[in-house]
Amino acid sequence: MNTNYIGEHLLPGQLGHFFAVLAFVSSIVATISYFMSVQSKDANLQQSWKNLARGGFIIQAISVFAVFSCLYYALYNHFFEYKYVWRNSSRDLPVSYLLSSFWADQEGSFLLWSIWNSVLGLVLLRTGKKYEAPVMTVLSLAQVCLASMLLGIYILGYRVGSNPFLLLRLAEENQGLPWVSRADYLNFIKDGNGLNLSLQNYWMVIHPPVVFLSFASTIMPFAYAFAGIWTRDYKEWIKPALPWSLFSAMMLGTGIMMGAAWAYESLTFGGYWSWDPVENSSLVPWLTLVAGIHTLLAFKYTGHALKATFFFFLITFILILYSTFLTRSGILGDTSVHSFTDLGMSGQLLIYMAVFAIPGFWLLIARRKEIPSIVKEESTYSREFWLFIGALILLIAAIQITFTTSIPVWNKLINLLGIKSLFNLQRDIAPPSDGMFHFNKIQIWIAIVLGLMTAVLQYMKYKDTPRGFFSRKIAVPTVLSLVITGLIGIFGNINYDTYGAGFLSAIYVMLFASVYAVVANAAYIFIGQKGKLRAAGASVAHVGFGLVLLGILITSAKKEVISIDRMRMLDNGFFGKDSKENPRENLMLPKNFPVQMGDYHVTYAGDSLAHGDAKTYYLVRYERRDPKTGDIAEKFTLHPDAFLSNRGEQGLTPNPDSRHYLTKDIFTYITAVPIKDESSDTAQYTKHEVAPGDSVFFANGFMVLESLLPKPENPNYQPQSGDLAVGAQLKVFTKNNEQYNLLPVYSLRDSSYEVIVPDTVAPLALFVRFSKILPKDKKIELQVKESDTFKDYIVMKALVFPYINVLWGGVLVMIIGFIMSIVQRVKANKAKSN
Amino acid sequence: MIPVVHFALILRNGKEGHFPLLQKIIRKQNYYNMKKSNIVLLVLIAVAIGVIVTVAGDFSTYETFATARQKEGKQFQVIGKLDTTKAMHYDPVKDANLFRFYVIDKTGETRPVVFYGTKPTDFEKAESVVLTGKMENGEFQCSKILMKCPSKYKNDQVAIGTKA
Repeated sequence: MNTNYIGEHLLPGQLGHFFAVLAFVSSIVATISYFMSVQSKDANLQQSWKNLARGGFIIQAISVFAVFSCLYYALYNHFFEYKYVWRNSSRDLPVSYLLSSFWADQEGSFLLWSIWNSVLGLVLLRTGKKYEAPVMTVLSLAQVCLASMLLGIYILGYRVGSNPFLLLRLAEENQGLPWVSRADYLNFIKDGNGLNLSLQNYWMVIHPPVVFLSFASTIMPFAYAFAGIWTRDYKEWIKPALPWSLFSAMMLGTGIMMGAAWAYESLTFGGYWSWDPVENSSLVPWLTLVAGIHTLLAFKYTGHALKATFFFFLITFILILYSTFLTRSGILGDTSVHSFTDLGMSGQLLIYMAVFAIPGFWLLIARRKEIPSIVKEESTYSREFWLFIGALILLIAAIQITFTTSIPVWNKLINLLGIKSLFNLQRDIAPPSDGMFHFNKIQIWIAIVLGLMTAVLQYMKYKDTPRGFFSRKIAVPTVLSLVITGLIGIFGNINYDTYGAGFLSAIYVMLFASVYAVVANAAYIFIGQKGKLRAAGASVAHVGFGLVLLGILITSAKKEVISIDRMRMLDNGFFGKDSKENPRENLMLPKNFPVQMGDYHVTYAGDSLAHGDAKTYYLVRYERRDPKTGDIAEKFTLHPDAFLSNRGEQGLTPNPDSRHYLTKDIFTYITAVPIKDESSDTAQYTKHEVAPGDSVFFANGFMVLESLLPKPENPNYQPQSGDLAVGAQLKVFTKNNEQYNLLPVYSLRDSSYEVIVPDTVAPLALFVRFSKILPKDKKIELQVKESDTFKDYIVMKALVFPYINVLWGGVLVMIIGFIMSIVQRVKANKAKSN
Repeated sequence: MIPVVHFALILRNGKEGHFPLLQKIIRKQNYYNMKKSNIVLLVLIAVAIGVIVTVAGDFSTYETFATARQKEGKQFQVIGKLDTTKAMHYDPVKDANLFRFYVIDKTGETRPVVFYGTKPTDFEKAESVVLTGKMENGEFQCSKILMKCPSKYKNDQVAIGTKA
């Protein structure tokens, strides 16, 4: 069967696929050549292998960019013959969201990862020097794995990768469908499936590039550590590895917190962090990477903790791959709200993980005895000892989070290994029903220990701390922190009692720990470093970390839902046993009817549409009155919005809006709106026979028939040539002295059948039909209906997040600290090599 | 944590006779050049295992309505799917925090479910739902709904118009 399909654009796809295969092949060439360059003894041979490898890598980098361009070209031109384009975009999608479409799916996001790897590789070609060959071997191997994800070629009956340029008509699920065999099928595919509404967001444009740069960058500490073991250069590798690992930790931290900010700003998860598996699995590698940076410093200054550094750097990248596996294999389907669905590449993802985990850890174990270590013990009064302990605490945090996040994996393993039948287990393990508290109750203690260590550790010296020195220097910050904690405790009104007094006391301890971390590190810039800001990167980053801890603590403990529906609570017993579990957090606001909510009177003032924007915007007016004088103390309007339908189907996809203050945010989003169509309406029309000048009464007022118009203009009525149309000009007066005009139309088309066009006053839920002309009585028949369900209202949820800016500010300070450290370390490396 | 380390050091360095067996084990470890950091490592591994075992108590299993009925008032997670033959009910004008529907669990048992919140978006399209809550008077009172959609991010059906 050879159908000549009409209107397809096959060139970009063929080019794209060609370059995808070329990238795969040339990255294999680069990997092998770099490997040979490392393994060969002869300097000339090394150089010639290296030259070959460089060529291979540059070709693969160019190919990856070419694949990117081809796919973007297809997206930009709406070539819906490609499945990827059809699946992820549509014609009405604004151009600014085309990039979101690009990485909305697995193939595009792998491509993004691959691009960043290429960029990092090109940087290494220039800066790698003697580490170029071993490090690039690892990086090229990663490129082989990533390129294989985009192949879409069958090898021995297995499909390897998924080709983003697959034609829609060739897709598996469309085989055998009648339209596939039609040459003109593209005439029927007018538009794509479109981008998921919750991804049509500016965060989706900027968050993925940052996250994938951070994922890509975690290979650098891995590759340097691997290079160190592989070439038996156990000590020197840490110098170039340190700035890279700082960069990687900074990017990963930024990526995670951008995700948190996205969740907070424009999704309706009710916060910035919910211990969702997808969030957890990217936090865990950050923890191990940070642990690795600290053990690396301990090694750099004292020679201790080298093995631990190797372990942490190796495991970080493996955990990134594990997180990729979790989010992309579809295994999290039951436990996460935002993971990809299975693309049938789980096996390939596992192989990717094994390709790096097995050689890495095998070499580490095989050569463990060669790795230099110091026989003499660390002193308990040394910085390196506590750095090591801190790293282990981070590891415990990582293990606990991974253990719970991996529940779906445990289920798979239990089923696979037959343990289930062995122990006669009936059911699958489910994650804890109170997931937030499950993590919080453990991690709060870890955060406390980390906060305290962050505070005091800079005051300890490597090798040994003189006893008096430590207590003398730390005294002022300690007292200051105690005072500040006391003040916050007294005036901050922290009384989070949902989980009892034990947890509340933990909150107070953590309050001290995080304040201590901020104060002690800020003070260290002056006490320890005598105000030399250039060397204070670590202190600044630690101040940021302390602020993050503090911000998390305050926002979590003091977050408050203010949209509590108290009316209904009274019905069912406000103090009933269910009142805590069923907090009734949604509030119904009828239009133009102020409702008390927290300190505010809130009024829903109507909705509006903007041209070229598929969203509906709701006007929610907040008003706070001074309790004594009754004057309006504050007034503002929020515009939470929502997509009301997706491709013609009803469904609410809301986006929140917030009022930002320096000390708190008021966060509002829509949770339900009425469906505005007549079919859901049960009210009946009542008939009225009226002559011009007569009135008709209804519940909220009355209407007067002013006149009958021969050529009526009603937006819902389109006159046709054979029409004999009459409109009933009505004036509506409501009890609130509002006036509306109505013009229902009655028309006799071609003298044979009636066309009746009703008119409505939407805010009153009033429908009027002009149903009959009664020539004998010189009257007309009007049918009037007041709907009881069709009322304009919104249901919304509003939360107050106090001091959320402490968290965001902390993140910024931390990033600044990282940048300062990177600059300092790069400079130090350059100074040494000169 | 510091007392634990301290304890380990006493065990290693302390006088014979306090904890003979433990000391014997640790002295034997000492023979392999046991360092303080290694002891700490062991202690922390013990702590980690302890933590995991304790919090693993939070783990539950996916249950059916039958189990929830037997233990009324206890929290369970039930997997099921929406019973589309029975009507869902959500009327925000009367109560914005009350959503009633029916769910069939894996064994085929249908139960009314009450959720104290708004009706989740695309609820009808969910392939299956995970309900967290408890049984009370034959009614499943649910505090959390997790929906599994046929394709979380997309709907893969090609819709073809009949007219060009």
